[in-house]
Amino acid sequence: MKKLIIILAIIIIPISGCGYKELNNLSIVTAVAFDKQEENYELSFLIANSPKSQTSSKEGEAKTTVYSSQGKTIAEASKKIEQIVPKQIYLGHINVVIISEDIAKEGFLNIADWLLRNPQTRKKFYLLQAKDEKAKNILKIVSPLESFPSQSIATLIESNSETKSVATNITYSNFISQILEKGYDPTLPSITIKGDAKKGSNEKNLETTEPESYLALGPLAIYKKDKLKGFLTEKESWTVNVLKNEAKEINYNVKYQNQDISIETNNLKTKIKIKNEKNIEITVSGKGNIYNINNKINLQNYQEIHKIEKKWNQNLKQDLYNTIKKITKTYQTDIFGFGNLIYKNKPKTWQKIEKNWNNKYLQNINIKIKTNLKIEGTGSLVETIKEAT
Amino acid sequence: MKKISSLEYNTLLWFLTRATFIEITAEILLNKANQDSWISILISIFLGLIPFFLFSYLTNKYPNKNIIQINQEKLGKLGILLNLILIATTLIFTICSFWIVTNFISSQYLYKTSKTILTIILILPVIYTINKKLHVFTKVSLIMFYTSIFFIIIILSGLVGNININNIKPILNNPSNNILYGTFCFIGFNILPLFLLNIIPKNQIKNYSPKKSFIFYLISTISLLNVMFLTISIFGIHLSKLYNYPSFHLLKRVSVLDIIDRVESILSLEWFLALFIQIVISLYFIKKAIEETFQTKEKTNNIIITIVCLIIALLSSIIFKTNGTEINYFENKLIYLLYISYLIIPLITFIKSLKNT
Repeated sequence: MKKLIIILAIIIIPISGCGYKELNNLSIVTAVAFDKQEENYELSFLIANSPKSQTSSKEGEAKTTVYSSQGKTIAEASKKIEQIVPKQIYLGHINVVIISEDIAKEGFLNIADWLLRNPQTRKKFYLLQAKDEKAKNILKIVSPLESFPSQSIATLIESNSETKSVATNITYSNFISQILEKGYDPTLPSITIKGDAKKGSNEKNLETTEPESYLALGPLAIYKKDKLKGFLTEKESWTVNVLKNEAKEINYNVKYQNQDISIETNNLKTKIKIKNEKNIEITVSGKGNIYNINNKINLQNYQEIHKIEKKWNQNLKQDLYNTIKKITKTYQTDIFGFGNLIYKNKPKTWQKIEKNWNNKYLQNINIKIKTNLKIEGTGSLVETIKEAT
Repeated sequence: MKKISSLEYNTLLWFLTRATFIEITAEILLNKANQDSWISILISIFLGLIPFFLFSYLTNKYPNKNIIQINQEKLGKLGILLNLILIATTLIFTICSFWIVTNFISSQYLYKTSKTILTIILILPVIYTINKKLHVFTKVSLIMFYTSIFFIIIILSGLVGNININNIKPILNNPSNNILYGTFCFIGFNILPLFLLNIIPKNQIKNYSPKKSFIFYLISTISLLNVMFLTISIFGIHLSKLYNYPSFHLLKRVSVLDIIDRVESILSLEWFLALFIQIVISLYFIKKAIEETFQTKEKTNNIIITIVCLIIALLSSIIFKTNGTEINYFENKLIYLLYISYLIIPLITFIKSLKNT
């Protein structure tokens, strides 16, 4: 019996056909773009080029290639790409997914299933909204700082969400989860091309000290469930992120004595308290350092600092209020998740108001904002240069 | 016969409790009790003490006999009939467990490999192990237990930062019927299989202690409560319900200090180990039951159990045609079969033993 089992094991294991492939026989997809072409979906893969067999890689040879194909479904388009790519497609290393405005306006859930269902994908990749450009073109832009455009986009969004807070990193599966949440409408960071898209896809773009074309993160795209409704401004974007408790660091300009004072804010924390379906209380607290000041102010006088602080609190409070009112009135979407908070904390109340939440309750909601922002430092200088003269 | 240690025995308890959770219980609980699935498990931990103490009582009361011998002795011909039902139920349960392993591997890892090849590869170690003595696979279980604990520590440290308590809200927003149904399923699939351990008589366990078994019962059920809590609090209820094997997808999020990353395949080994042990224990139950019922010799019995293994491999590859349809069968048929065989039959034995005393 033992011998039989051992012999069977020896025979069976090598013929198991687990689909093992050497790395240079795989086409590793690092980014995916979804576009719409009339009635068809256009799917694009950014593939990392593996070294060609029997040749040494040449200087200036493209490190990535974009393959596209169209189909009535995403799966069909994917199969067509497999017909034109000579190596086996591997989706386990996708870093970034970009969707076009057409697809987003029609409804993201029309195309969401394929990547989520595929067992090869890891569902942790960043999702971005293409703005004023085809999603496919964004994949083509080469960056002087990163080898792969996908890595360039991922790094861009990671660093930007930490230092500027206009964009936040959101993964594909989290975005779907937000769409499915009750009383919640999602947002997505947008990405666009600055300059000529054609020149940006050429490797020559890397040979100049000032690239003719490059990728830039845009403002937040706002959705109503899975449909794109519009784009915010840059200021509104970071305001939204402050309210959603996703802003890590913001740079705020306070107008004081006719001069702009820059305050770098960190440790921002936002608490939203639902009193009832008509009243919401928001508390924002945080600390900041004076980052840039050109006024003639005595910074050693606490009264002056206190006045700047007061102005900062007032201005931010007004900005937050204006953004909430604009978004709820213009787009009728609940990207702040007020409805979701009611659902989670007062589910019985939510049952009563769910149907009319976006078009009735949300627009007339009373918002009370409290801010508790403190200036805790003035940087490396104890007084302003103008004051010293 | 060589005795097994109390710790080895308790590691079997640990694996039997955890085995079917990822495939069967987690999915049923999430669909029925939604965010309140963890409450269902919490109730199950308390209600599950009833069958747990019932099984412990029978082990303690008849230290020289396994459950098959007890049934035959106390219930006569009825006992033989009940033993045959137990064999049939355990066989069906093993077929389902084997299907779970092959289906999980073929749907998540080796989707291009033929299921038949997978089945053959997986049944070989099972046949090899079941032809060995009890102390051999309890030793295997002990080693696997330490591996399992090591993996759980990595999983917890890699996931703890992703927890979002808001995701488990609203609490108790689901109808109490659904929460209790979740409890019913959890007890059925995760606590009642502990009955299979009654095939090991007390005198075969060195320093058997019901207290230690109780501690293991608590640890293993609480660990499952933790799995459910992590799944819901990290994914949120919608993603948890959407994914096939949500607890496996959760492992894809494990990242320890950005150094240990992309390790879900290794970490999910813990679930395979549990299922492997469960399949082996079920087969050991069938082997012993056949031996006692039909008074077969060891050599003949080994041949019979090998044939049983081959039947399991064959049936498990044809039992469910499409991945996803199995839950309906587990929920509507298998659960009742488990309750009848692993709760009602021991209850009959228990009542009879009370009358005799």
